[in-house]
Amino acid sequence: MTSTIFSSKELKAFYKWALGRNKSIVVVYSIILGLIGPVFNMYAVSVGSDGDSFGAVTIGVFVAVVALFTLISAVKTFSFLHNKRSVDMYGAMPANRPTMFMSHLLAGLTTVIVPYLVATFLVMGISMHSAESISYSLYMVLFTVLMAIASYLFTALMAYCCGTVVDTIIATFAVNIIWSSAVLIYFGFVSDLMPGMSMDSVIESPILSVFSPYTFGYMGLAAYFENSKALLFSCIIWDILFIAVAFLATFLLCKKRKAESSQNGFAVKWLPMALEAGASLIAGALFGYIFASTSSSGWGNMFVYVFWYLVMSAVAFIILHIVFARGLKGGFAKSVIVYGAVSLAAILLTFGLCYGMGIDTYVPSASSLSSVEVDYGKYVFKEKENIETITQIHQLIVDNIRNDNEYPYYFGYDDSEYEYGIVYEEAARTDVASPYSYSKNSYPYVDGFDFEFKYRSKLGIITNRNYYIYYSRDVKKGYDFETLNELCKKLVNSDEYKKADNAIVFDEKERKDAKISSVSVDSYSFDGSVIDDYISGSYNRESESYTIEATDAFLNGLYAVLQKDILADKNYVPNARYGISGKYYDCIGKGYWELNFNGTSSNWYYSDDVYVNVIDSVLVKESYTNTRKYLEDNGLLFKSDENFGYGYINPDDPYDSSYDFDDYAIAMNYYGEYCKYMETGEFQYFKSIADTERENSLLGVCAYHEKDITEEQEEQFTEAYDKEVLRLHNVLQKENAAEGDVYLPDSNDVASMVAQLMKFTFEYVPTHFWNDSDSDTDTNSKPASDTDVTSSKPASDSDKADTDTASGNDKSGTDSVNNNSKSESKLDTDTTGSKPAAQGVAV
Amino acid sequence: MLAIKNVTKKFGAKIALNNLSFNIPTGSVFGLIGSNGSGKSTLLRIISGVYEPDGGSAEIDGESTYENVRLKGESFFISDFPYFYNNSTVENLAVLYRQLYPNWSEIKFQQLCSMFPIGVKDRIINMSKGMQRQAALMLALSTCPKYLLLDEIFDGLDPVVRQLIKKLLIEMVVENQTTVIIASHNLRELEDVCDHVGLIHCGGIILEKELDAAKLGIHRVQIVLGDEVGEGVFSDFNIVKSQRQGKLYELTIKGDADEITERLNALNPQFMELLPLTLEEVFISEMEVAGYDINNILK
Repeated sequence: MTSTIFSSKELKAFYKWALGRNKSIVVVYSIILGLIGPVFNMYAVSVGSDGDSFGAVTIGVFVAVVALFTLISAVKTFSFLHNKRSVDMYGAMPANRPTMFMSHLLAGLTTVIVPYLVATFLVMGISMHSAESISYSLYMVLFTVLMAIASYLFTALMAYCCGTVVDTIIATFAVNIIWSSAVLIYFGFVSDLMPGMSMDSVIESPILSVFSPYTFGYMGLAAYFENSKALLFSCIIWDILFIAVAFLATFLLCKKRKAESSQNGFAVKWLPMALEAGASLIAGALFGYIFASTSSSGWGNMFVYVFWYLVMSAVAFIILHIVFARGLKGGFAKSVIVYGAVSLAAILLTFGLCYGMGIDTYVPSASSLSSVEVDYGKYVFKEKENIETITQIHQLIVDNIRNDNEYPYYFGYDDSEYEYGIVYEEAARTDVASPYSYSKNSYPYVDGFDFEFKYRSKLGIITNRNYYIYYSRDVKKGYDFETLNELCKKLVNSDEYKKADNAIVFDEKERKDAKISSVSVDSYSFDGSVIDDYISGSYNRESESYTIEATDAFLNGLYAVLQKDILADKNYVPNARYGISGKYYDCIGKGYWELNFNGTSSNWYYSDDVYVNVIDSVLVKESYTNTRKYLEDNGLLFKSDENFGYGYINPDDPYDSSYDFDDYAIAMNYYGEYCKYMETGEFQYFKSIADTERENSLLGVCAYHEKDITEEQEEQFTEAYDKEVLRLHNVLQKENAAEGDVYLPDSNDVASMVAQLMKFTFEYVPTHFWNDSDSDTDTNSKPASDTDVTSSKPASDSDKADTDTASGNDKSGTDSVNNNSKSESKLDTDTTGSKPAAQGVAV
Repeated sequence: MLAIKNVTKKFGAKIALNNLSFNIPTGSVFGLIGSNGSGKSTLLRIISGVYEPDGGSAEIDGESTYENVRLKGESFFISDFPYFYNNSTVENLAVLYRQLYPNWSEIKFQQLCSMFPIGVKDRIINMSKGMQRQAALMLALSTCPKYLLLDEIFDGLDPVVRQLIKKLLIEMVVENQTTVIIASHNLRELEDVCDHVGLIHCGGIILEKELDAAKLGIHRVQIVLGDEVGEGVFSDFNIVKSQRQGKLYELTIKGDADEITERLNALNPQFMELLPLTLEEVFISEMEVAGYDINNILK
């Protein structure tokens, strides 16, 4: 008896023998791989694509070709198990079974992997241009090789389980498809059924491909593009684990498998029963799910599901049994028992899921958690207090939902219609929850937001929950938004949140990666620049901002003061990350600066055939006195006038902060000319700008007061606002245009108009809708840090104008205009343009 | 010595070999005979290590043959339908066997290549059934096995090649003390070459002895007795089969030839002739004893 598991002499002999048998496969496979490169290259050239995308596509196609030939090669290599005559030949040869298995495995893997590696590196050599694409390619090589090994082993395992080549192929396909389908169907309908559940767990883990090794390559691809290191890591770990388990299982089976199983269907008797039960499960669940979704009541939903489950699962079961047993005999009774047990379990499980099974109300205890990721991993909280806050938020959401609903859940429960509207809740303003933004007339409207929690327990168990809250829908259900607000605000003001939100300031690694080369400042005052972006579409406006070269000394000093200011901020406003942002609501009318850290290398990424330079931006509020002083000292901020706050330095004209309004003027002139040409009325051009400003002003005042208005109130406000616009228009026309002529305003006119309208809004809304007669007091009662600059301004013209407007006296407004000559300002603001609105708000 | 010890093999509910036990002496040519489905091929597969017995074991010098690489290296099994891949040639199979079988003899291989009318570079799959067997046998003999297991080896071979093979097998036994086990229904060929014979029926061994002993232990007698002889005259003999046509009795009797002759002579036969049985006749006789209803089959 041999003393070793594998005998090297026999291993080598059979390896060469099996390799020789695969010669024809290698030739065809190599030709196909060799053609993929040039063919895709030609295609890429023909469509004008660059080398990197060509390389990415080529490698993607390689994965498919490798998967196909892995199957072909594995089935052919292990076909010696499926013929009685070849079993006689191999069985009598002087080699033990493990040696036979190992030699064939190695030969098969050589057949599949070596040509692939050669072809891949050749393609990489001729087509890859950037480190990014090479890194991607190397990842793909890793995943493809892992996929090839895992798939090869899996097919070998199926070959040992089956008695014929046909059954081997069917079993391999069936297991790969059944598992992935079952995961997708069940996770799909659980996420459709229960609030809080989502497909994230599927997407963010290798669970989808756990028993589908032929998808490992694409799972790796997905992990790479998800840019999730955890997913990449877990995919690699699982692939390796799968390979180890498949190897062990095949190794053990190769020793136990009865030689006489060849040409006898299945060597492992339970496999066909498991496959039949699995196939019937997915067929029943899929059709049950599809048909049940048409019902919108819990029990109706359940009845339809069970009916279709039973019908379709039975059909699938019988078809597969006929295929495997070559008829209805061959252990039909046993198979029916297994099928019946699985069906019963599936139906009971679905019943259970409709009642939540405690999954819907489960909130992990804070003490059991090591961390919580919020907003898709953007923020990671590890401090006990913050974790407790998050679990409280989660519990509140669950309580809200349970108070509003009855069991059983039904499919599509969470698809209620939502309405467009505006919500100013803290959660939506922060990055704790991602607000949904909808573009309505180019303006962001927020109605809903989602809370995404990813709990990591101390044992390493991950729990994902994702809730969709629609303000306009859920506020009617009595959801406790007030408490939700408070909890979110508490979280946002935690050091952990602030540090994560300002990684460039707090995280040394982030700084190092970013390779900051310069720092620039954009000055935002009142609403001007934000509106400017929308009106002019001039995305590159920042190019005229002022920049300083980032020396280490400068950066270190800047980081230090920023850290101090940010952590001291008790009313923290998160940095903007996306189109719609916290700053938009919170800082409107208050004035702030945006510090841009411009990177040089790793901040570049590739998207839609365009290289995008990511700029890390940090918000500098009025209250950040240390930072402001530091920027002043380093010449990045210039205090032009005590009364007018800060602006960026224009070397030619230090007082030039009216730039933003030039675009308005251009737009208005355009509208004016258009209106003149179309003879649509002299007022229209003016109103078109004002209308846009109205919505923005309304956003601002609601945000500032953290209150909302009803639709009726909005209509009432619009009516009043239009009157104010007409009044301002008439003032301008009367002063500057002859009878019947149209006056085209310049930028100062526009700036004044915007300021007046904003002022009007900030006065009108609180006093009319919130019974807030002393709105000025209310405004000033906000933290001093937010209002420092504006409140320090002398109450001169603005005061008067505010008082007049607040009283609703149109004449007062007219007076204020009349009190200023056109050469200075046509309305009641100063000529600096961007600042007057701020005065209007604050005073 | 090759020992079959209580070997049992089942295929599902069907018992192919049932507690089978016998020994095959080293250096013998053992003919394994039996009815269709009696378990001959199964036994050969168990001895060669292809099948694992469900009970008992096939042992060579005390070692089980199953998963025993060393013993397999000293044996060679040619199944009733030797398997060859599409691209297999004698030459490329020789490359494999050269590495696997420790006793591979290149000289022997070259000798055999010159003896058999086979192209070593020709694809075996394209050859006739008989030539495929010759190819298999060439390779088998080149490994100089100590145990050569042949299943229906004479099937499809022309008389010349059959003679050649028998000659080669006997040479191998003489030169290498090779033990040859041949399972076959071609009893005439076995008779030429075998010195031992085993008869299997329904998974059990009916007969296992030297061929001569087997043949000499059973005789066909034609005897004519006088009228006075009663029905029970042969009751003391170990009659396997008896037939009567008038006064002529045709008997198949087990026992020693001299003793039978002496006892029959005591009956004062008018005529008596004692004839040896061929192996085929022995087989039929034994099978009848075992309940193999030949008459019914032949009807």
